[in-house]
Amino acid sequence: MNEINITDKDDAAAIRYPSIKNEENPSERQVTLVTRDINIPGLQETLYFPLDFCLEDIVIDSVAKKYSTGIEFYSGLGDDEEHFLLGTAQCQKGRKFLNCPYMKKVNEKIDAAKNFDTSDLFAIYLLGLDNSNDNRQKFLAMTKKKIYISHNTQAIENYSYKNVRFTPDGIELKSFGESVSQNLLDYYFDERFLNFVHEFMLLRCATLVDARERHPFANVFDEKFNPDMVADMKINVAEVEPLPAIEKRNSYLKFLVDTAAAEGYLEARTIMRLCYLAREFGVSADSMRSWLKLAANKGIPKNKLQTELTKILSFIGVKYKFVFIKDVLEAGTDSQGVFHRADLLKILKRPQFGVEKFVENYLEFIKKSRAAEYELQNAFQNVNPQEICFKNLVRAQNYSNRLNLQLVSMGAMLNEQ
Amino acid sequence: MSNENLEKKLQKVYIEFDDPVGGLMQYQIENLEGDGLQTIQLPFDLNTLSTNYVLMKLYDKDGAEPVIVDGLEKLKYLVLGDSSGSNSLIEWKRKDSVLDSLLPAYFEQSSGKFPTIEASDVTEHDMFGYEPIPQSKLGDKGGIWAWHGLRKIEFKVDGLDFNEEDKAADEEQRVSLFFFKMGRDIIDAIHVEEIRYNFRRGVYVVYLNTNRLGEELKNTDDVQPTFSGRFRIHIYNRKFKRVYSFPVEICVHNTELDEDFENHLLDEHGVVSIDFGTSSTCAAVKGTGIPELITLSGEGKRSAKDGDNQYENPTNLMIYNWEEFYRQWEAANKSCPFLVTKSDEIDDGEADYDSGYTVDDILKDINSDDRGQRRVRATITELKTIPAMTEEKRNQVKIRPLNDINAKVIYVTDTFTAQDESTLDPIAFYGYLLSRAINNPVRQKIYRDYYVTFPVKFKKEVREKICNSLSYGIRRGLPYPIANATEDDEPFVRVIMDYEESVACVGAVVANQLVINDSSPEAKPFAIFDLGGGTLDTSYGIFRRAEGEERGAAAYTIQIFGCGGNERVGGEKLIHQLAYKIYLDNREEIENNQIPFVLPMGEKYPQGFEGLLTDFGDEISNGNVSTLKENLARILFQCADPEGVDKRMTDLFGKNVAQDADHCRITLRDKSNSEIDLILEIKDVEDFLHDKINGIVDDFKADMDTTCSTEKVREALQAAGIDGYNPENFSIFLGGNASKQHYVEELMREHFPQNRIERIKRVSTEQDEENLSDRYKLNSKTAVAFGQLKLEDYFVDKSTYQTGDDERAPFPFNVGYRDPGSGQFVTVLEKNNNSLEWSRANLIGIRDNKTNLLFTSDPKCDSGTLKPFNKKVKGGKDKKKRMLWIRVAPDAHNSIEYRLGGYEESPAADEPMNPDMIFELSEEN
Repeated sequence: MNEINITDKDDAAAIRYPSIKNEENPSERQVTLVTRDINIPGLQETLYFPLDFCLEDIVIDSVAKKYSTGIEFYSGLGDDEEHFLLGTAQCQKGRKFLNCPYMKKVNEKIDAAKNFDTSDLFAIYLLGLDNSNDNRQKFLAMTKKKIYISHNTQAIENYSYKNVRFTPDGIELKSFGESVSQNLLDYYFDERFLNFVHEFMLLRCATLVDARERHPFANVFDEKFNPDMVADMKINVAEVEPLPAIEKRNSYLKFLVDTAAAEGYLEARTIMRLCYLAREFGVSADSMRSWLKLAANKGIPKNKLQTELTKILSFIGVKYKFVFIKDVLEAGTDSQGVFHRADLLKILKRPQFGVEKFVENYLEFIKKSRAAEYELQNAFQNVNPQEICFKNLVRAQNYSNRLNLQLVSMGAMLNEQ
Repeated sequence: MSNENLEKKLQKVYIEFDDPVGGLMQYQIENLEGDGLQTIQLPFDLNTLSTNYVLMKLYDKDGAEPVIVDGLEKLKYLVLGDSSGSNSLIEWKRKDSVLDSLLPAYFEQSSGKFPTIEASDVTEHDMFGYEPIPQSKLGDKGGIWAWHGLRKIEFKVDGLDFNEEDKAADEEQRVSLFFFKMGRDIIDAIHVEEIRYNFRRGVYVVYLNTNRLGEELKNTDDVQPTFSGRFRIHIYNRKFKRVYSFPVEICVHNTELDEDFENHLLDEHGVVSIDFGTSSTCAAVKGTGIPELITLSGEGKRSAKDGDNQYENPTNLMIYNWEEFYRQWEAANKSCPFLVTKSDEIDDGEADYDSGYTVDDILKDINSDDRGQRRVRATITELKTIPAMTEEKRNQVKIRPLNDINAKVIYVTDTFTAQDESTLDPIAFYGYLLSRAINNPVRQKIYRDYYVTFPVKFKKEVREKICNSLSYGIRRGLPYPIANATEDDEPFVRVIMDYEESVACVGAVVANQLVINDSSPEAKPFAIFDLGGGTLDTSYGIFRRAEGEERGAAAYTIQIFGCGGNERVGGEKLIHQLAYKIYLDNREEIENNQIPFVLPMGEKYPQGFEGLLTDFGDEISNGNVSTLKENLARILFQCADPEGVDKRMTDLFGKNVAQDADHCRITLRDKSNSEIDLILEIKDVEDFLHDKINGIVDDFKADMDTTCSTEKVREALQAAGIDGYNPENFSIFLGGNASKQHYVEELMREHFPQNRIERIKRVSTEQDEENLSDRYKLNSKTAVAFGQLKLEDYFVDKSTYQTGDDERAPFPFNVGYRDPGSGQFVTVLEKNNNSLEWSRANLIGIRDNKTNLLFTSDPKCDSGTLKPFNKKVKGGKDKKKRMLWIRVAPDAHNSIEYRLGGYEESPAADEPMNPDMIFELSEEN
């Protein structure tokens, strides 16, 4: 009798699970497995994405980057320039290396202050330069929790963010019930600084939006290898083993983060959107941190941009092609409607991607919609907040967005005919 | 929302409690975004909780040590804020800053109880349509087997506040099943690798790798430890996740053999008997209880129809999804293949294969829908005949799997090692199905010995092929350590072909219909007439008390005088012939519409029908055969109305009857594969069947006379106290499915008016056979499988007809020549005679040196059946040595060996075989 070893006893794992059949309408679907035990204290799921991620150093530094000049130039600035340090890294560096009398004074005062968490320090603004002999340098320091103001007096005053408002001519205490607000500080801040503070305040109140829709790419599941694909391509199965869905989402998001931050023009609203996406994609905060670091360091090298882009376009398939390009364009465009990742733009306009016209028009669309958003914001600026029913506004907006998109795509089809 | 406020909320809450019915339940709710839990959702109403043990852990900050709340009393006080809380409770809560900050309003109870979970093993349910193995039989009162491939286990969860099909956009579930305990030992967690959710059934589907569990069993002496583990469902939404955790216990039996080749699952008294038939297959198992039959079609596949006996498994196969079929079945899969059968619950698109009555239904209903023809092309029937086919014919057999859009063609082979991605050995696969059905964990028995009967007329090499294929399939269905074990260099699992089908039948009649007792102690001559789907098998012998040394083996002896039969006769063949008759009777209709058909074996090409008839057929003609057989011929064949079918046409065919009730509507296909509605005349069916069956019975009588008239039989009868051969003394038992045709019994009575003639059935007094489940029922079909099981208890003496080489099938022909003087046929070699003695025939041709022989399989050597056999012989130069001496070839049952010599010059009895001087005889050519 012909002997055949029927089971491979040396390899217990070599078992063939039944395929999922009826791809159109399968009765079974794989459920993601969890292998971690549940009640081990201190361990968090990878899904854990802290709400205050937007206040982490790397985010603040990335956002601050576009407003700050390098520390090495700082000492060379003239008296008529405004002097400020933005971002945690720059503040630490400045405190350590700037050897000017003004900064020394700041350091002294900060070190003397009670409960001042220097590790949280992310902005120092010298309120003019005190050249007097007793050097009572006035300054403003911001940590993630508090605002510190040092007037001429010895003591540093601190305020909670929720109580203050920044204006072009200083800082005022919010009026609770009183009609006249109290001025805390009169000072004509540099516009860049004000913009930064505005972005920081946005980051500070990052909250979870109750969006009913998910990003379409968040719904991509792991796929088993597609036999048709193998048959068509006549290649080894191992070569077409698809990326796990989480890897795809990682690549997708990493590219967006790179586009948004690599040139140093990251905006608060962009990073908030990306964090939101990260939650939906199940991307860990660790990954986001590492990508932001990479972007802060010039991001994906220019000569690899095209390869990376091609790779992503190939695995996301045609279903998500325009979703992705749209996301890329939006990530790279600032509130003024300027797309900053110029090398990428060049690559995107290459004919092999077949989107050059789309890119052009869409950038124009973003620019206009940024302006429109600005007007929208203005429109709501002067209404009574009590009367705004946010939920219904969102629904109305979604409704009209849907309609508009439908009309737009109909228009596109008309063109084709 | 400020960070200061967030920090006061709990990050995580864990609860476990002992449910008196379900065991230790666990639940956890955990914040995912650092802002703390808005409320603590409890998965039950505390008032429904009846438990001696409950423990809650509250995690204030990530990474911190939890605050523990133990006991129902404290928990209720914390959650319900019972105003009647005793001072000690109030004090207890106040003492801890975390507890003190928690208000009852922070907790939100669900109404009702904690969700429950119910496991059931559906592996055989999916493969065969059997009842799932319930949870109660998965624990220590049952269990599954290690090294037995994957098991599919369904978990049904009730009362869960989540629905996969109707989940919110931000909700997602993840699951885990792992085992952390084997018996009493804590082990490194074994995680199940594949878990799915079935939308249609609303259950979780766990694919458990029993090989992996088998590996773990090496670390214990316990032969059937219970693996304890947990099934967990994690339900995520954007802000938090909940985890429900349930205990799971599955007993796993070790399937390794010990040094004495023993295992607790092996039934040492157990034996399996398989009657692998052309049209249907029966498998009977005997253990300690009464023998029972095994079905390949569980109740879940299809509700039984009239005339079905689900234990007479139609031997057919249909392939739905070859890609998956082959992925599981190919030899490179070193584990038990898991294949899903078609059933009422399983759609075409999700089935892998099918077998049994459900396939018969498809063959009957070829024009049911637009896929009807495709369905038929995906099936294969009469698996048993594949090894007996010529290479050429076998290459014509094709299966086109139903779900394959590329119209992949699967060829068949009779050699399991020759299988590849487009070749299947259907017998091996059928053996696998039998093995999985027989060795079903729900029965908790593994069988080692498989006895397979064979038709009398099958050549040794054909028998060996069937045996090898079945053996491979059977072993693939067993747990690895048993399947691959060898004892004394022989496979531990034995597949044995010892008995002819007609001999196995004898086992079913002795001590049942054929009894020796004190009031009737004399030896009982018997004859078995087993008319199956593909062959007729007969045996003759006596049942008597054991004599002399025989008594050392058994108290009674079954002495076989001889076996005979005809591999060209059988129910399926008669039905094909009947269909062919209808075809021929309607020549004008057929020719006008150009309907192709397949010529039944042994028929000659008729007048007319140019280009319409072929020997092997293509898909269209085979489809027409199938349609005519299933829709007309089989129904006519099975009709048992004594008035004759002519009177019953309307009953039988209903609205399809046309034109004075002797015509019938049917849809066949023409050469261009278009459907053609025809009205065919049905006539002389009774006469046709009468004639055909009369011929069969007539041959049987002649065969019996020839076999039992020999000197040896006479001696044997004499020794048993019977004075010579008298056919009237023989009790004749009818077996085989086709014996159910009414003419068989009627004509048998005509030919043997004095004899006792009975269909095989059980005449026991203990049980009312009519009310017995089909599982135990003895009838003319199940007799072979049941009978073989009983042969163990008797001394079976085959020496009367077997001459040393008992592996050899009996010689199937009468060979002789026509005497030039009388013109009469002179028999030289007798049918069924296996003696290797040389016999003198006649002179070879003067000029051409060719033999001048005639041969026939007809026992009566009717002139019309004689076929000339003229072949050139070697030698012949010596004019005095031109006499032809022949004998049955020693190594092939259907061949003769010759020598030339003088008139009295017989070759030596021990003359070595010369392969160059052998002729094969075949009626086919």
